[in-house]
Amino acid sequence: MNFFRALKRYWSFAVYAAKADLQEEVANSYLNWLWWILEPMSSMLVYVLIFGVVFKTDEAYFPIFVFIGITVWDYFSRCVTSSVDLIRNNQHIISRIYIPKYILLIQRMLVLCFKMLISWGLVALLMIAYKVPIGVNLLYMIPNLIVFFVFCFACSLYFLHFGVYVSDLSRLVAIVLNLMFYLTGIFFNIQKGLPAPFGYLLQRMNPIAHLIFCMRKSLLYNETPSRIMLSIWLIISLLLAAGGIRLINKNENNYVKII
Amino acid sequence: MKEIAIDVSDVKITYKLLKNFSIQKNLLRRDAEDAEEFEAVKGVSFQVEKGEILGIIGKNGSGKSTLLRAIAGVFCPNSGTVDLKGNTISLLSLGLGFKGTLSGRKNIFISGMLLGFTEKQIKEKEEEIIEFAELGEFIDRPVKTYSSGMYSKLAFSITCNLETDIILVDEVLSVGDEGFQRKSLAKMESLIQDKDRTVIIVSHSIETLEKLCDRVMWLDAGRIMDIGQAQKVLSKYQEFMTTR
Repeated sequence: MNFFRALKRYWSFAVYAAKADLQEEVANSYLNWLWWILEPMSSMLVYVLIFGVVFKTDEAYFPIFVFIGITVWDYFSRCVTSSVDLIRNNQHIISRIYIPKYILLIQRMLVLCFKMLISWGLVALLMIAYKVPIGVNLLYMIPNLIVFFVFCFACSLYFLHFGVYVSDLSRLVAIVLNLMFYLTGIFFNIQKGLPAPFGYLLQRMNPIAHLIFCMRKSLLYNETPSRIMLSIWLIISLLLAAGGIRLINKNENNYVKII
Repeated sequence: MKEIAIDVSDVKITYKLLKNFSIQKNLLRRDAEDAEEFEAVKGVSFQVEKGEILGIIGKNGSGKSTLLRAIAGVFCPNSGTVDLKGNTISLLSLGLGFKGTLSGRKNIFISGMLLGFTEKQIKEKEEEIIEFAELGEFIDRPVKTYSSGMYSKLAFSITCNLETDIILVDEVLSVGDEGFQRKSLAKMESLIQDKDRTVIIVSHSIETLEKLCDRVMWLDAGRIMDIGQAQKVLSKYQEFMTTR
């Protein structure tokens, strides 16, 4: 089925099911929605304590610097991790009815989006508390986020596909994500922190590192992110997504036979 | 000639008995065995007219459910085609997409939307579904607090009140207590006897198929043994099963 037609047809299902997932999460835990705030807040506190107090960093607005990194990284890593087992976890649906498999991914991304929105709300509060001067570059958050979502969607499509065939992919993904976490500069400035030219290159070649860099620029320093780099990553992400959708369209009807 | 609603042509379905590829297993063992193939459906062709009720019978493992799922579009046949002539289709299955911690009412929407209905269409049917399921105030309580009978009543009510042009039924004719069983069978009958609705029923029960179907197809080991007038095929099948 054509991607946009499928999206139109199943969009309301994806939204409804995402809301249901969130309600289910709330119903299942004691502190319910408080966790959505407590979780990112506490990991920020840990990093601030270790890197801000113990190792003494001179990065401006360090807690917000870290919090932006965590917000973006959490979304990316959760999106990729959950897509690996997405088909297996939805076996009860896909073995009984046809549904374009990337709709399940979109449903998952919507759930994560909601949680990310809370994190961005906390970032805004912190920015007010630290009196961060803001300017017109704040608007660059829109293209920053668009490129980010397209990239996450594109990556996750491939993990969704290969997760069906490779049963221990989730272990491999955990290791790679762990490595990538340190190469993304969540709690330090990779350009300054790593020896030249690796830091400079990594900040541009690692898409998540680059997008975090762009978001910090627009939010914290009122600087314009590189429009060329953003466009390059948008084009790469769109091409990757198109390839991923094709891959899934071609193979999705075999998934149920394998799991 | 009557309008054709389902056209199945030379459908073959193979399962690869491939154990999942595992990085760990394949790195440690070089002699990864080749995938074994198992052909569940071996070149089946038939047509179903609009408004017709076709029964499928056959012993376990004859490929009935596999064929039904291929018609529903759950997976593609390895070769051959299934043409539904643009009709909407659903495979009756109980409790599709149900989430235990959510209320019955919310699950009606999740299930209905998965079946391809819009929120508005489901809203129109909501009261009818709730009334038919006889759940009363339980409809706003989490599904996990339901007894198994209540659960299947709700599930049955959803699938039977949200109607598509073609309905595929895989042995879900009786649920709940005796009273509800009678009611659900009556509902089922009125549903499939609608002259515009095309139905395929898979069942082991000769009695059910005899009562409901115009024609019956007998499958054995993935091949059609016979297809034709219900009573004729069913008595042949019965004879085959007793002399075996």
